[in-house]
Amino acid sequence: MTILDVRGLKKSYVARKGFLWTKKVTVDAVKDVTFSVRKHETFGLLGPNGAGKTTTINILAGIVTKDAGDITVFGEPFSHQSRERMNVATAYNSLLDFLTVTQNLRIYARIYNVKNPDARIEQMLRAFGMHKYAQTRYYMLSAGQRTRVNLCKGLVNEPELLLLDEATVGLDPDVAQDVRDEVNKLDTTIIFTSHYMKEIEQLCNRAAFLHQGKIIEIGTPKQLTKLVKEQIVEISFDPHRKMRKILEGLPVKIEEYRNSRVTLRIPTTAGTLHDVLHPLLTKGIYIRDMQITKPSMEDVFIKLARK
Amino acid sequence: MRLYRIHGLLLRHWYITINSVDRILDVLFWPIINLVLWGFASQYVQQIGAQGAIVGVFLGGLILYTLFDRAQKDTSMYIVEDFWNKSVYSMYATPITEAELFSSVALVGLLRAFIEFSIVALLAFVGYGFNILTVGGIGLFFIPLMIFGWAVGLLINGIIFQYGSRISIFIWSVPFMIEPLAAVFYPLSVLPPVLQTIASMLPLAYVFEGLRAAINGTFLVWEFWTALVLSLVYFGVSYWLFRYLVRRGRRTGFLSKQ
Repeated sequence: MTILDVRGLKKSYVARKGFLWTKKVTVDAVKDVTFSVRKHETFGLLGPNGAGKTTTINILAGIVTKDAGDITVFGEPFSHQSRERMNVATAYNSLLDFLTVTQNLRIYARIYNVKNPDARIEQMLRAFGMHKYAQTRYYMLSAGQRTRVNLCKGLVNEPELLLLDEATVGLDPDVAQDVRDEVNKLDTTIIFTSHYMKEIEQLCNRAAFLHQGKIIEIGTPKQLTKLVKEQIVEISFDPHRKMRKILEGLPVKIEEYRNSRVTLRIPTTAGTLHDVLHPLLTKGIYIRDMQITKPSMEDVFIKLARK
Repeated sequence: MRLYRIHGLLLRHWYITINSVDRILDVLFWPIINLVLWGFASQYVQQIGAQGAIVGVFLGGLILYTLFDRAQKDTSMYIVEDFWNKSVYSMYATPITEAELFSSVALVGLLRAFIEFSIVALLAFVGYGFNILTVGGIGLFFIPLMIFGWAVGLLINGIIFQYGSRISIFIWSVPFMIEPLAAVFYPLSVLPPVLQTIASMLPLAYVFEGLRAAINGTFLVWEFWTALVLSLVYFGVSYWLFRYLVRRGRRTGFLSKQ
């Protein structure tokens, strides 16, 4: 069942340059974005800076209005009513600094008409390990604690569609992993943007790669990694004066070459690994160790971002 | 418009109030300081031989102006709070509407204006023997005062939604800019002709002319209706502008960056 359907989304911003005689410059943030998200799916939006991920999330959150395109949420055109069933959390937004965590969350619970708000707030704070800080003022929290509270705010109304924009940016690796674990447990539909490809691999069922305001690839992380038709092979060997010359004659790209270790990018087409290893072994190269790394989402990111 | 969202916003304003000393003090501190200052000044002017009910003119003007001042400031301050706290994104990504936002700040302004008015009126009675409630028909003039206060507050909000919190100084400076033209403590005829023309476009000038007449026992019907109609016109224009600028903020992406 499709929860969200986005067709031909477009958004441009007008910037003014100059002081007295200003000149209008139009920046196309989102050019033509089309995708759909199924119920209970975690859908990733990835791409380099300025690709249009955040603008897409902002439009879906209702804080930015679209220029063109159709958005259908829960089977109805995107509206004020549909936003009551959605919510958003980003690492970049804040809550009221001098209010306590509970006070901040109560406000949003009321705005979203949550039944029994205090019980819901308590439940969320416990889930995110923040119940000890319920009466702490927001400004006294660390970045990781604020992120958790922002997530609680994003979940206060048990949204059927949750938008998470860079939810773990700036967090320590262990805290980021905790947040990912919590997100993984959520039983809702999520649209997730991140610069960390590991997160996309861990959390997303499907992901779309945006580049210059357009989706250029879409699929499961597994499908996306297949776009990189190379594997990285790291070989440790006994130093040999002919090694470099032999490698230069093979269908490989030498990433790094040291005295007794080489990192190669080898095409994943059938037989290629054999075509590389066989000449090495037959020409007397003694291979001590070898490590093959399959393409990751990071490789996908680099490949697509350089397109 | 949904009542539960207004309830949520009222809860927000309540928490802001009880968590910030300045929000509690600004209902008490400046009005009392002003009252003491103008109370003694008016007593002195009376002593040196001023004709008529000069204490009533000064203190009545001061007390009524607090209604406008409070309505205007609260309409703006509770909204600009999100800009100061960088919580605009969180708040405006919720389904709240401009009408709900205005309703909540208008209600808070009304309540706080009532509290401030009560305190200042009581102190004027206790300290200087002036009872504003005995001025005939004065209660009717509260209506255009509050409406115009909301109108100016909304106008400032609109500008904040256009330029951000860097222009939030307007929240405090605009009442001072309007005060000379409002003819709070003197008749309109004192002003030079050009300023009289400008002042006649403001509902406040009619309110305070009405107050002075009411102190002398006359209720100026024309002044009341003019003040009411003008304040409603200003309110209509300000609300439209506020709504337009909030939506413009969403269109230009300004809100998402606050």
